[in-house]
Amino acid sequence: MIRRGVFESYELASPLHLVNPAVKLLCSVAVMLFVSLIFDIPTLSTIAGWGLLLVLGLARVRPTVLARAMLPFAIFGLGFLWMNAILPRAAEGQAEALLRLGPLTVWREGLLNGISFAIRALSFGVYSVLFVATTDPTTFVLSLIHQLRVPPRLAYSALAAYRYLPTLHAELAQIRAAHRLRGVGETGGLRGKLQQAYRYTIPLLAAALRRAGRTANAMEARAFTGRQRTWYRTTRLRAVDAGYALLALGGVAAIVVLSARAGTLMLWSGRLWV
Amino acid sequence: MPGERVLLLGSSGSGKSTLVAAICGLVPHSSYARIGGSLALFGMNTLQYQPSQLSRRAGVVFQDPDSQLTMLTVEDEVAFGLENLAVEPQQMEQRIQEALSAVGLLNERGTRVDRLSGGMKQRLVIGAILAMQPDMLVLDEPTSNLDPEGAREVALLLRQLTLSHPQTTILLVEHRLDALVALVSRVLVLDRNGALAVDAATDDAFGPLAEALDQLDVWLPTSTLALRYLRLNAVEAPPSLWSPEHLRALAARNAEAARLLQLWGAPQRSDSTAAPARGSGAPAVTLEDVGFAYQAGRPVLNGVNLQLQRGEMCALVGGNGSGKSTLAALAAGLMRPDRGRVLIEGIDSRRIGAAQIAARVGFVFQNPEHQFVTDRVFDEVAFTLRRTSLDEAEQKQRVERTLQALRLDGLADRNPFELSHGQKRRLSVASMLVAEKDVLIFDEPTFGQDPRALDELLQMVQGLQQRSVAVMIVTHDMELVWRHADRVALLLNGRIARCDSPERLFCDHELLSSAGLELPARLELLRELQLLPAAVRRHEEVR
Repeated sequence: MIRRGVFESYELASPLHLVNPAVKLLCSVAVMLFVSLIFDIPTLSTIAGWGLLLVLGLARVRPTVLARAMLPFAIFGLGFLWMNAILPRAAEGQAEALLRLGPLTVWREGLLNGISFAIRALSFGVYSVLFVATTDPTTFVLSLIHQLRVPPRLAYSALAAYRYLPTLHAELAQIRAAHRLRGVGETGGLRGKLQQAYRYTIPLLAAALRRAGRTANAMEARAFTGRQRTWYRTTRLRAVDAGYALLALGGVAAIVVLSARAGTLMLWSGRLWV
Repeated sequence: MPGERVLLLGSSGSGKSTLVAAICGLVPHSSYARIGGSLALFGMNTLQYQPSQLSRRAGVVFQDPDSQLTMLTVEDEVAFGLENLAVEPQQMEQRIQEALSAVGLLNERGTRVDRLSGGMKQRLVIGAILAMQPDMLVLDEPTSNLDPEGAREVALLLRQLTLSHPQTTILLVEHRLDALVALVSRVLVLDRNGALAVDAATDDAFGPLAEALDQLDVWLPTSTLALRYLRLNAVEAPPSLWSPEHLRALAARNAEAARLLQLWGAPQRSDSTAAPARGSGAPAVTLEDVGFAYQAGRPVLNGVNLQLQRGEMCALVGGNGSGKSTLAALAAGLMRPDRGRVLIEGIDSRRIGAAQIAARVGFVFQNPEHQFVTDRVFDEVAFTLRRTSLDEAEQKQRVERTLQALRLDGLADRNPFELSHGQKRRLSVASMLVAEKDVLIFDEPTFGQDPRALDELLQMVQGLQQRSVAVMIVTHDMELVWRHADRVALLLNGRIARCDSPERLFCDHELLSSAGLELPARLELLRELQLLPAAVRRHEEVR
């Protein structure tokens, strides 16, 4: 049994796996842009919750996989929360101190701001997982070409680069081991770190360039020009895609409308905090 | 000529790959080059046609399967070439099926490419090219990046293809010759300047012309080497009768020839010189019940016990992914074991600092670029000595002597990354040999080396043994193991399945085949000639 993380979940099946990747991508990006403009906690958390519902229900992502994928977003969000909570930015005299911990003061406005930033980070995470966990990279590239009119040369290069990401990591580990054995200490300090980065970069870059050249040669030797080609598989727009767009975007729109009626909605007003 | 099967040989740097690139038009269309003369492929001048047009006639299989695969699944990979040829999608299905069944991958249609073994990947590349139905197949060292099992798969496939596609022209660049020499009818050899030095029928090239080929520093079939040895020892035999069948007839007729062949097949270790140093004193490296896992619950090594004696050469063998490199890294103190302990010169590797390990252990990596840390060849070697007690003049002298020994003396001011691959490898060896280490570990030293460079390296290693350095070689090259190793450790399922002399290990066919390993080329030939040494035969009978 192969353990499938979020990047391997595309090999499983769910209703969302059937949706055109370009549509999924555009929906997720649209929601993320929209989320950036909303500032109140109730609306933000409902939108995040809607995303969570889609991820667990429609995309059938296992909760453990989701939790692991969300970890970086959660750390990022908590950082925002902490930073905002202790910075007395609403310093126009109305700042209300909630808690004093020695030299640190937690301010009410700051805390609210922080929470809304944190939820925003989490909803970015949820809507990213929605796309990543249900999208086969090859189908994604095909839909970029067929639906979004990305030139094949560019799209296929991206696919080739994607294949190399895991090897890059292994290669760096080898270079580090090799340098350690030559007696290059992992020195501290900015100067040492910079020197080290330089030493690692050269072999990595040399190998990456050579490999890219080899791949380009191999593609050319297989008659790839990016023009006048046929397609073994094509991606199309179908009813299910429209249905998904309606569900995802319509859900978010409905949340916003309801929230506006209830009077809780706060939109961007040109300031970064409430 | 159409339908002909040609083998192209040449030492490294002679321009074999450049010629291949020129045939498929990558030179000059994709890289800068100064061109003289002209090259025509099926009447098409390669200067006037783009690589994408030329590739409709000649399909090229390169060395490294990984960088040739562009898609994520097996069937998409085959479809990729067909799409580029603008084949109608309805016809693709059938062509994909035909190609995949020709290379035996029909059951892997939907498999992700990165989950295939090296041999399967290379077969897939060949299948993807076959689907494009080229008139000519150009294979640029298709087995040299593969382990013995993968190489065997590809050689077998090529033999089948010559039968199933008799009209396809084949140009093969290769140095693992034994399995493939029967396929080719003509041999071309490039000299060091890239000029065509030999153009002969296979029988002539590896028979009467073998001496000339040897001068050009190219690999020869094992049976040719055997016949040359006989002739050197005054056995009367015409040089043209070099094939295994002829050798067998000769050995059956001539008892002296049979005796000499057995002698030739025996290991050629210099036991007498190394013996005093070997086994004296404490072992250089000891692994005690070592376990290691990259991922919890999936151990790579599980209870490994191994000792590396001063002055011995121990070979570490095993199939791909058996954990050889991991074991080597642990023995070198590069990684710490999860379980058990590694003693380097009697000290637990957990308690030695990186600088101390670097002073005692040398490790020649497979990719020499990984260990370069300076911008100059001279500094690269001197770097190893910078913390020793030697004064500056002495350091300089040592570096110069080492560079000279490895034929790098004219390159002292160059940047290591500018060197040729062979030179880079020699530089990485130089930077390890310049200081006196206690332990030296080589990861795949034969990879991409010419016969002469390999001989030089092995001579140097023998010199090290006499200076009581413990040498460990991680390798797939059984011939090297057979001829030079004092002991072989075979890694299987995370354990040392056996650690023994090569003579005894290579008798255990069951173990060898379960580990996916092959016999050394010499031994394989002797077996074909029914001349296996008595010791080996006896062991076989006992089993």
